[in-house]
Amino acid sequence: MKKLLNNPNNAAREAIEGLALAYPQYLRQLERLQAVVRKDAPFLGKVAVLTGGGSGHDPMFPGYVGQGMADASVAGNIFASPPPAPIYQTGKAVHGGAGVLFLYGNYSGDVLNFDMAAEMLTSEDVPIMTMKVADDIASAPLESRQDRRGIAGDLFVIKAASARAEERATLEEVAAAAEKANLNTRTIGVALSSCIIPASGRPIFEIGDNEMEVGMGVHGEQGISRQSMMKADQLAADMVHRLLADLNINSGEEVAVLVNGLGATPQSELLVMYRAIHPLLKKARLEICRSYVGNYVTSLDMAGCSVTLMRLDTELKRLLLAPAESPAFIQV
Amino acid sequence: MNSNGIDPRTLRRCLEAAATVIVANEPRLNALDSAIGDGDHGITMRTGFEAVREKLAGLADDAGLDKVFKEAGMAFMGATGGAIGALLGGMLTAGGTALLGRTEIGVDEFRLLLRAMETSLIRMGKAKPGDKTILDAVHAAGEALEGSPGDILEAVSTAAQAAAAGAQTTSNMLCAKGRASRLGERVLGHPDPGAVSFSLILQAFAECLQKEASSCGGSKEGTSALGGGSI
Repeated sequence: MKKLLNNPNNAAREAIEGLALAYPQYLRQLERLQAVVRKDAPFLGKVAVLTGGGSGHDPMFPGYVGQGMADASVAGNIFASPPPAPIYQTGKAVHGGAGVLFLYGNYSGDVLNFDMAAEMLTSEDVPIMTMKVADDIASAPLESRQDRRGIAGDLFVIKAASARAEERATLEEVAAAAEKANLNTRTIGVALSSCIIPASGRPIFEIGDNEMEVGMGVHGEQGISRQSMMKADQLAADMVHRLLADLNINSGEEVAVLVNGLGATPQSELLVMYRAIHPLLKKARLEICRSYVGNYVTSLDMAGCSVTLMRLDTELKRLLLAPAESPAFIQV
Repeated sequence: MNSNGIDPRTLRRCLEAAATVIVANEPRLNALDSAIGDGDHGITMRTGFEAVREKLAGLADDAGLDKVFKEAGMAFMGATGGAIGALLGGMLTAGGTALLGRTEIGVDEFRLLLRAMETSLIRMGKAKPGDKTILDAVHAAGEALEGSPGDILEAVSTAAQAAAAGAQTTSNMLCAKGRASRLGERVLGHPDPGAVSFSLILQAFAECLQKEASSCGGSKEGTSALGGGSI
């Protein structure tokens, strides 16, 4: 497999270094850490939103550090949570006196490491609250929603929490906004091919040339069904149907839509998917407030996509539409 | 090592032996993980144990048992991250705390060590035996010491065999924790890679101790641990 790498074991660190060099107008790298923070952080009196998780999902999470977006992001090795020490150090670096919201996807490795960092910071009187994003409807049934994994819906939750923090809300209020966004966000993914982990150089699962897996997670976790390839229109209908059923949404409600590529699927195919999704949402009599199509939360070079819906109320709509400037998310 | 137990210098050699075994088993651990996870457990373990080896090389000669375990744990955790970094790093660190003030690991200290590691695992990972995790190997090792295992050499060897058997039993379990818990019956027939790693570490300890105890230079060095065993 051909990869543009040096030592594959340094892929995560070198990507962070490249990000910081490429986007100094938004962020800077913390010395000796696999972490970036907003260029003028910390901000006195503002809650800091600290995101993070395993690398390999670019631009998630470090690409969403900037104004109106997260204050900091700590990157682990490929598909592995960062350890507690750099999370702790980054938390200290961005704490502006109003506390820090930890925001990450719900995976046991991340929970273990972020909880240890939270303990360390709390013992030094830095107020910490935690939001674990759980939007993947394929990973657990609705009645055990709290066990679901976090995937592309991370983006909407980061956007809402960060916009609320920008309004100088308290830590409790920022956490409440994040929780509201999480409760109203649903995602389902479909994988067409495996990704290749740089250090091993091999695919992480086998999938036939004419197969796809609906509901597969961003680290190759088993989904709902392995089936023959279908046309984009048919796949879009299946995904939207599952999302609407899980979200239990009523006609007349307003949503934000994210059609997200997993890394190796061209934008044109994502647009073909969106073209099918849009009329399906209209047919369900939903208002589409804003739609996003592109590679937002990837799985290295996996082919496939995910579809995310966030149900909006007045507050979530305001937070979603608030301006933002970061390497991978710019909204005026 | 002397007749009564493992002193800090012997412990360091055991940890280095474990690093060698883990590095040699990287492809096998990756393959085990591919069956039920994302296929990088061997890479992660190698990264962690290379960091442990580097940390041990820089440690003062007179570092005590607790210091050796704690530094190894922090090095492992810092280098790998992920669930295994927190869990195995946390186990090593907890082992160090349990051995505070002890100068060598005899049978009693070894029991204490395994118990502290198990407690740390349960507290952090919230798993229980039977959940198809590293705990199944650690728990089996601890249980095997409940009788009277003889001297420390026999105790470590008994624990290592029990850990290997414990790791083997995870093949028949469904995952209750971690990313693989979403795989359902797809995991049957595959052992938990973390449990296998722990059994490899104990096996490396046992073989290192055997080698040091035998006056004729350790002809049995590393064979079973390096050769892949039965798992």
